[in-house]
Amino acid sequence: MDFNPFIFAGYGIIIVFTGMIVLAFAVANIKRIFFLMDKNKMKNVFTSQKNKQLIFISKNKYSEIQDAIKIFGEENIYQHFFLPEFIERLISSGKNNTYELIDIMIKKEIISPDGEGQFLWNLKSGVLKKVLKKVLKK
Amino acid sequence: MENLLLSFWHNTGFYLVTYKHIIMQFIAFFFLYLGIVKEYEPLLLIPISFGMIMGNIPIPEGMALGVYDKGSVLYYLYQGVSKGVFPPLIFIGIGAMIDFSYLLSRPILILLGAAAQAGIFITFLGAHFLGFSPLESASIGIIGGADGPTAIFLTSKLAPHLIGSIAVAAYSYMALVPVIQPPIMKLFTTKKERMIKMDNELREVSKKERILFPVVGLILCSFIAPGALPLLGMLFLGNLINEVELTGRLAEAAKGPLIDIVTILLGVSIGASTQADIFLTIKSIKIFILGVLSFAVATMCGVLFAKIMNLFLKEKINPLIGAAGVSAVPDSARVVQLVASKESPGNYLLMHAMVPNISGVIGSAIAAGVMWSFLGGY
Repeated sequence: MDFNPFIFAGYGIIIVFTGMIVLAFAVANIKRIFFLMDKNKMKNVFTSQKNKQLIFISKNKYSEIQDAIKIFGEENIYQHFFLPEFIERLISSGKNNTYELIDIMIKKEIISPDGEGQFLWNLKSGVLKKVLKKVLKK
Repeated sequence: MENLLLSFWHNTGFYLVTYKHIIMQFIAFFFLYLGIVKEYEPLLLIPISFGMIMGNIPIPEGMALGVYDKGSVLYYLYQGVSKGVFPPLIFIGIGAMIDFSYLLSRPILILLGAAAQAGIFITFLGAHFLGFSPLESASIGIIGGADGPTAIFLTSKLAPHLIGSIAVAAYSYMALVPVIQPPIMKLFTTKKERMIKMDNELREVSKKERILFPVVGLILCSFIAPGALPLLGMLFLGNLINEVELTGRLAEAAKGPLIDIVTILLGVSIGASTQADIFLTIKSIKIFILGVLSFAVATMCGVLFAKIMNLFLKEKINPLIGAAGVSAVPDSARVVQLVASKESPGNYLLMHAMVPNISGVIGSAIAAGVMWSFLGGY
């Protein structure tokens, strides 16, 4: 068999690139595997709504959301509120990652704008239901 | 009595020494100087250069002392190199030390680790046209991967007679990353490009993802390039035992005592293999020249590919991070940070550069596997 160095080098580069592209693709989608494991979220995997981002909430974040509800007051959960006021209350109660938490809550639609300049707790949100259950148990 | 003394004299280094031994001792001192005074990769260069001193002490014929003399201690230590055993052991330690979180949070940057591997294949062509055989050319090209264990592993399989020169070239160029890379990085980028700031907010990577990645990564990469299995298997195993808390003890052993012991044995035996008669040849000089070219071409490919990616990306990446694709973990990522912060103080690129840097390790192992698969039958 004749050895053609150019063909060898060309194939080599292509194979290495293919391998790394496959790896990058797998890495980019690895989080979806866990998402699929959660049957409740199955529908969301196949809907590509622009604003609905794939965000995972760690155990720590759950307890932070729980704290935020306590600071807000679970008895006031049906009331509309001004976001800057809520942020101020969270900061003054010692939450140093308030903006990150608010960002996650908005993206996960735990809180959403009411269309009149204020915000509202989205009681249909699965995450909020889960957290509220824990808060009410305590 | 006189004959006895004369025979003793004939067996001493003072009688047996040649100019080649002296040249090699000077080279060893130079590497020792780089390691101790300049602090270039001291953990590698000091054992290697000390091994060079040991390997170039003139020894009388018939005494099994040298690395190539069957029955000598050095001979048995060298089996770890020549049979390709040490590199995978080092990879367990590297795997246990690597944090794949950055890579998992910015997978697009993995492509930069692939681009830098083009340098390996381009140098392969250069070596081939300089008269090296395909097997030798592949072993020389892999120096551009800037990954010592990978270079040794592939050379042990394809061109074992070149292990000494290739290992010394690979490790010395890894040590010289801060000298070799910056001029090339500057040559292929504009000041404006070097000042690009990248978003430092990375996605939070869950523990589950970090545990699943080594398993998925191994299966995917090894299915594509089975030749990379010994290296990638150990790399990903090291990473898995580090991520799983239950195997914390194993991870500590892998990234501590294991990698240290193997590095000492590997360094000394490689150094000792650079005996004057084998090392001081025109071939070795060519290998050193091609090695540095391979390194430079790999750096250039990484930087240029980053620029190409910028044509398609909304959020521009700093092309300097492409240079980190040559692996050499974490030195080339540090060099990227250094060059970027010189241009624009406060520009923090280290964690972005770690992605191509780590994927470069995987990429060079795949490249080695591909070369072995293609050329193993020659």
